[in-house]
Amino acid sequence: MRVVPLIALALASGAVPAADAPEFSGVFRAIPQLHEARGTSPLAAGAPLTDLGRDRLRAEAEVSAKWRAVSFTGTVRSIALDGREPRHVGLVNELYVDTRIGGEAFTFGKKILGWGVGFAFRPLDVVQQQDRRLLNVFTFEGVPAVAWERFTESAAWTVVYANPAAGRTGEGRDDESLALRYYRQDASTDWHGVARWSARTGVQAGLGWNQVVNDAVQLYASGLAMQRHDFSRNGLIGAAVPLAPGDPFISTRRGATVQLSAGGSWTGESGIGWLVEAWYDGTAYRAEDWADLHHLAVAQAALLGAPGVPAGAVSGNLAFSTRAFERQNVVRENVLVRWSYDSESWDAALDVLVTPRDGGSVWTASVSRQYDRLRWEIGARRFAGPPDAAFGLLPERLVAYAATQYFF
Amino acid sequence: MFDRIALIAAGTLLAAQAWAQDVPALLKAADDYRLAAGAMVVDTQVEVMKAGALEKERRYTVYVKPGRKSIVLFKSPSEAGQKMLMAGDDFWLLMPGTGRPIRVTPQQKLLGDASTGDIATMTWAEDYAGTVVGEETVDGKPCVKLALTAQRSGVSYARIELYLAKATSEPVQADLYVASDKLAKRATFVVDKVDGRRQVTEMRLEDQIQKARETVIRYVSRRPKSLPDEMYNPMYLSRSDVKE
Repeated sequence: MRVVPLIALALASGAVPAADAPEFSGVFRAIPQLHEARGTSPLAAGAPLTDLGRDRLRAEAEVSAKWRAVSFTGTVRSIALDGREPRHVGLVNELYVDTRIGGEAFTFGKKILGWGVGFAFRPLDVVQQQDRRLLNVFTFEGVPAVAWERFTESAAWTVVYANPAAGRTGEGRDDESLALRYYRQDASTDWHGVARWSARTGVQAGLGWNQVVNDAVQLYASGLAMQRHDFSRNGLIGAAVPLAPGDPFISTRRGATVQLSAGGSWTGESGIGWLVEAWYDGTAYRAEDWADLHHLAVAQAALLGAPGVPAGAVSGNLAFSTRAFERQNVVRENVLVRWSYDSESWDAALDVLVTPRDGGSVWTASVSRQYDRLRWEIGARRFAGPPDAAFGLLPERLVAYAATQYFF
Repeated sequence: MFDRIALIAAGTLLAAQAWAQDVPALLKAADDYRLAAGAMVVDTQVEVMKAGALEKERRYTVYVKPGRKSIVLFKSPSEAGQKMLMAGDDFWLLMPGTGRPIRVTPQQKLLGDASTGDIATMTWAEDYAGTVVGEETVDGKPCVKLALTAQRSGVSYARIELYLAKATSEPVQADLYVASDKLAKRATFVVDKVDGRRQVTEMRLEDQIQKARETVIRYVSRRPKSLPDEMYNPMYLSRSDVKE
């Protein structure tokens, strides 16, 4: 485990100060989810080979502890999917030391590093982009890193060496990288600047701005430019034979692109709030890419039952195509409108994510109630759109859930 | 006859002017019952009551620094890891598991279980100005009544009608009005001798909109403690060594 040497380095430096008694906290969660499949999707025949469209029950315990300068958060989780054997996983979300050496602030270990500006999509989260739109994700998983920070009362510099010695890996978040952040507060305005280098993306640089306009309104915007990016797509698109014996996805290196986000929120005295956010992600699929994938899926699905074509080969290829949804932004252009109500005990939210270029949408509603140590939430998310839109192609129509959390 | 009326009127005017001049001093004296001068760390226990029954209990540790700066560490199991920085009229919140402090507006600061503004704002003198508008007896105590108006946009309450004990300037009652001039809460104060001096030990907030709700804030401990200026940087919230 790459984190352990980093923690050992901090401990060996003698920089772990004596402090308070250990602190512990935790939460048990139980989250049943009902999933309604979209049988009309051309990908539907592949869905049974994936987790899409399966009802499930997730149970987990998350524990946090802090002793001296060492902080830990870990999760043990069991997931039982309809028709599958239960899966059990253990996860170290964070294990790090925040300490001072020679008066300078350092971090060693696995830590969640969020630098972005915005609500749904934060281009400046260059060290680890967090998918803010996932349902029932409560604590993110950190990144192994060594960080140096310097603060004044209104400015901060951070240098992060993330995933030391990892080089280029299968996932961007696991790549070795060097990142720099500058932050400045100027009265009611925050300014953010980031830069990062990794073998995958080359140099990335971005700026962010966040301003509180009055008691109720704040506005924000951020943008990130990158030297290059990886683009993964189904290699069978445009091919003469629409089936492949294995994973048909191919990843290619593409040139420079940008990620842009802007939005604003209004919160009233009554607890009612509105948020509007629009963003563009140049690393995501265009509407035309989804239309191409739709055409491929239709051609593949048409082979089901064809003489001499194994049904397993067809459904397997369709299942591979669902990998196109495994990305933070499914489509490049996105607009989110969110209504919320926040009272002392009850919260409610309704939002719609629209992908205007292909006419797709995702509707999400939730209601939650907080007691002393107990919190429950019920909600639902519906995916909609024309057949060749990303969210219309998804072989899942609806997800409904009920989350119960007990804090200790 | 007219000379006597003029004399009385002049005397009343002079007295009112004297009170008006004394308002900052009165507020400072009242503030001293909640927060003595200087940087401090205050442990608070908050009970949220509904129809007289305990609904929720919350604990907070608040680092307060002159210049309207405070850091609130949320200590209850259901809020563990949350932190809020209040620096003048600017506010940031760190939610556990995100690693990223976010700016919040003054209105967003008021949302949630117990308003962090009620917990972390322990002084009036820096935020409010006003006049003495009369004298009334509250809970059997002769009080001076002050009408206060917020001098800054970031405070939780736009207007306060504050009742201070005439003899000691101890806070007795405060009617708290939000920006729409709606009476949101009525605060009453319990003052007792702690560490050799009289201090507010409890603030009871009766919700005037949801009448069945009441919040009791108990000041469990106060200790002198000064954090370095850099810890009041919003980005410092993501570090775990805020309090060391």
